[in-house]
Amino acid sequence: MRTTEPEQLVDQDDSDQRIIQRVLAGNRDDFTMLITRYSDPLYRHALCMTGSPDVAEDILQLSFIKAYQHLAEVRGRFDAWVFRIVANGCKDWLKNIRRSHLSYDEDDQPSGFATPEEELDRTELRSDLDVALSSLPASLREAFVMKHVEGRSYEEMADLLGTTVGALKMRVHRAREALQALLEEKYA
Amino acid sequence: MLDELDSNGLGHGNSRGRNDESSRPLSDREVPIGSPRPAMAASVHAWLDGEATESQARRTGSSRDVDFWKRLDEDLATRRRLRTPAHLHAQIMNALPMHAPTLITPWWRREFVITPSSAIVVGTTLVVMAAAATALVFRTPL
Repeated sequence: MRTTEPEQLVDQDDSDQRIIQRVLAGNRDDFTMLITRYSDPLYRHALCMTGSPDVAEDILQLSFIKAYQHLAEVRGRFDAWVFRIVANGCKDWLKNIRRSHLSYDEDDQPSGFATPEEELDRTELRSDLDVALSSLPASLREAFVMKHVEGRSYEEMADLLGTTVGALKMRVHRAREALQALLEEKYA
Repeated sequence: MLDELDSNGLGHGNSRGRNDESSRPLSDREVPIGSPRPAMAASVHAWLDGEATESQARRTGSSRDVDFWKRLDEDLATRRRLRTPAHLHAQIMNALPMHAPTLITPWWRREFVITPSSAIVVGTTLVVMAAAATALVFRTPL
């Protein structure tokens, strides 16, 4: 199984800092560069954590507004800082909301499946995986999504979440075991 | 075995952690993690972590597990391609405050500057308050 590398470049700290300085100096529109640069992985995280595109959009919007308001307080990497805002927003939402499942709309990508049957299978798998993900404890879901959807390394995950690589490996492994237990009867 | 790692990345103390986890009450959104099925082989986890090849995972693990995760990866690959809705960038920019962000320092962290006039005002206030308090304490009832 292939895991993708995170989209942001590793050595963007200086560039981010320059943008931040320009925004703090009053160039408000430059903030859109930071939004464009980091919104996709953050949106994927929020969507997979909440299962709802509307909620994911709300969390992303509120997180970027919060990031803008507190931009002068950024110390270190902006992407790690804004990720923590989004991740905390997702966790707060999960704590406060009670609902079982919301599926999200099809993405804009063209379908690679040739037949309607394959398309139906794909939709069913997505729905079942959404349900299975939503039944995981938030910490396991977060670790699984960061590893398998965002394609982050364990070291990067540990850096972002402030925990150890060993603990994160255990969370991801337990999430896999749980998902397989929930889904394998139908899909194995 | 990667499964045996505890939160410190060491191989001991795992059973205690699992006991704590199993005795913890589950919230309504959670499902019990423990399942009757046998645990996935470490080689399958290693393959999923990109540390082993598929053939190694099939050889030492379970082909059934490998096939299951390849099937699941079809959906995960779609999720990896998801992008922010086009309208959201403009929506966020429109919702931002118009003024530039400023550093908000709590009052207890702010720097105090004492000028001669402020020192006189503060000193006088303290003397008056002390005099008033003294008069109140030593006031004798008529």
